[in-house]
Amino acid sequence: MEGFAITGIGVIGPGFESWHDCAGILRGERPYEPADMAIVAPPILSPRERRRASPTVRLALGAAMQAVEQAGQPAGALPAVFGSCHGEGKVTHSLLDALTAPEPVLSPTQFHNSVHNTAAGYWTIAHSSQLPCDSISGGDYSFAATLLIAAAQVVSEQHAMLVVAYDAAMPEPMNSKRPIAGAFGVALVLDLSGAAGAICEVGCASAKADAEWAALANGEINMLAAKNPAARSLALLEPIATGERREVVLGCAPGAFHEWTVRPC
Amino acid sequence: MEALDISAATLVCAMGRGLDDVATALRAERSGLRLNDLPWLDVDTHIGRVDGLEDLAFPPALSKFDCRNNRLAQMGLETDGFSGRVAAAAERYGPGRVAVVLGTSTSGIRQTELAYEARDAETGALPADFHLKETHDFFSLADFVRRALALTGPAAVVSTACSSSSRAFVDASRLIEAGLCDAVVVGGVDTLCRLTVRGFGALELLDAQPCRPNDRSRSGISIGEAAGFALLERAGQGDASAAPFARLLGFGESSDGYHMSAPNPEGKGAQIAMRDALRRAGLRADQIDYVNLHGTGTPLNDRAEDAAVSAVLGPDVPASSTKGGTGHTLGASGITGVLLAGLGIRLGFKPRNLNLVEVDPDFRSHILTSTQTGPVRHVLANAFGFGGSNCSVALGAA
Repeated sequence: MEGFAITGIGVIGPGFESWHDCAGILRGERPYEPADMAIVAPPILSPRERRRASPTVRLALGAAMQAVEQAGQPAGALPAVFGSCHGEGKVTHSLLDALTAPEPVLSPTQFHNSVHNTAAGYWTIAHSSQLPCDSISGGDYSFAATLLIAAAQVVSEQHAMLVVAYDAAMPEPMNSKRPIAGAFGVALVLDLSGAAGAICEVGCASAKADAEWAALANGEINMLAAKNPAARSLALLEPIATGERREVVLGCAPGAFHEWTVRPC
Repeated sequence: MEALDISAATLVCAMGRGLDDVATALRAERSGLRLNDLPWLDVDTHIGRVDGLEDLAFPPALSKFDCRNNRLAQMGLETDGFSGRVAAAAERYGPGRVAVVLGTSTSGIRQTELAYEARDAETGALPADFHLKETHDFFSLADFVRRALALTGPAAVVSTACSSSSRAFVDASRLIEAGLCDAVVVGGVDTLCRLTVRGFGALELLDAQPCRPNDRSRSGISIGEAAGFALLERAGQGDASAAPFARLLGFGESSDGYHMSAPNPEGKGAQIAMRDALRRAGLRADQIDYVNLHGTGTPLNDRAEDAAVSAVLGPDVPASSTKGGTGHTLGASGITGVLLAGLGIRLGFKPRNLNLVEVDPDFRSHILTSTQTGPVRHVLANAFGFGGSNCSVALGAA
């Protein structure tokens, strides 16, 4: 597939609240100290939506705002693809729990806020945007699957895109069954190869591999990638942070791999 | 855009198992809706249930994936010779060059509902034999289908509520155009579950009667379940010995950017999606012979879609909702509409709007009150979902 450029990056994760923070840790400039982050609802949401926005919506929109700001794009001016393993795990749990009552009563607001594309919907509503906004799940492979869908759109439609991947632990009892650790959101603005202001150029080719993501130099960061599907993006972010050319292999589905060639600008 | 063939297809829904069966019911104007007879659903509503899921032989090697949704997926793969057509494509291109892009709104969440009912009284733990990743995960559907079909190409589940499986055609087309694969198993599967039925009940969007889309007295939806699959390949590249089902001419997508569950009253987002589909297909409005409407039966949705269709296509293009026959199959409703519209091209008919007594007198578009026969060259199929996610797909004859 043809390559593309990255012109903006946003990251929110355990122990860092921006791409600047995250890149410093990936470069080894300071030790990684994981900590739960208080994720505030971005001011682009109306007060009512800010109250209703779930932790996952805040995470996704927070990362998205960082990326479009760095890319110098007006928020809401880009078609977008959101990706997440479970989407709205907390809201879904609340509804499943309510269903076990003898006479279940579900909250209508919770119900329409339980759809996987809730974050995507809030993003477009926040900007009154009529641009397409997709919502993808690739399970443990959600980041690479979402990136692949978005990259195919950049290449085939020849326009810039916003990609957002976000995952957080679901409430118990679900998280014990399928553990996801921390809350991690990453957003990338993809543009055509050669775009002005590019942070890096990225190529993509199918590959053969054994590991589902390229191991990271920092062991603790690598553990984060092991436990949160969206955090697998760190394998791609590491060479961007360190400014080195590198081939990064990521699985986009069981047994399906792509080699992403990162060439910092 | 580069035209793609839907070289093979299958559909299982309340109107029948397989395209021939469904086409027969559609031409006979026979609804598949019935009063809820699933004891665990405990809501007085009409449903579009698929029979035989409980007794289906599920592949033993994939038993961890066993849930109502993947059972319906398995039934779909076994119907219309679909899995055989995919196997032939995998043989031709290599299994790593065949992608899987499927839509669902709730995947196997029925299994999680059962698991929550069986939580350990003391610890609250879910039962040991409940496989959340293989059933509840949205990706479970694509994971299961890839394994059942022995495919190793890229995969994704699209979950944009009720437009999911129309968007699956969009994402699949781009994967082919970008050269990431040669063929895609596109589809959508959603099944009846308590969360969705009670959720729509809480929103007061369930009709007490079988749903009556576009009728002046419509008052909500009836929920159905369906599995639809299509094998998408570059035009003319499919199995030469079998005629393609139809040709994918174009698609359009947009957001309302308006409200999570209510449509923009003028259908502005829907207009953008339909215009974009026409543009990509290189078609004028007067070249569209039939529109399969999203037509859910809620007062607001049908009115907004009528505004959008009449604005884009004028008052004369025949249009109908088929959800009075299938029920609203949610994440599978996109591909259900696409395949029903495609049947019209193949068999030369435009189905009447089912369960319709009197068209809403405020409507300006041409809602079909009787089934028309004759050549059908180009069609649009609409799907709109929560979150303001709109998609319109244009088909023609292959």
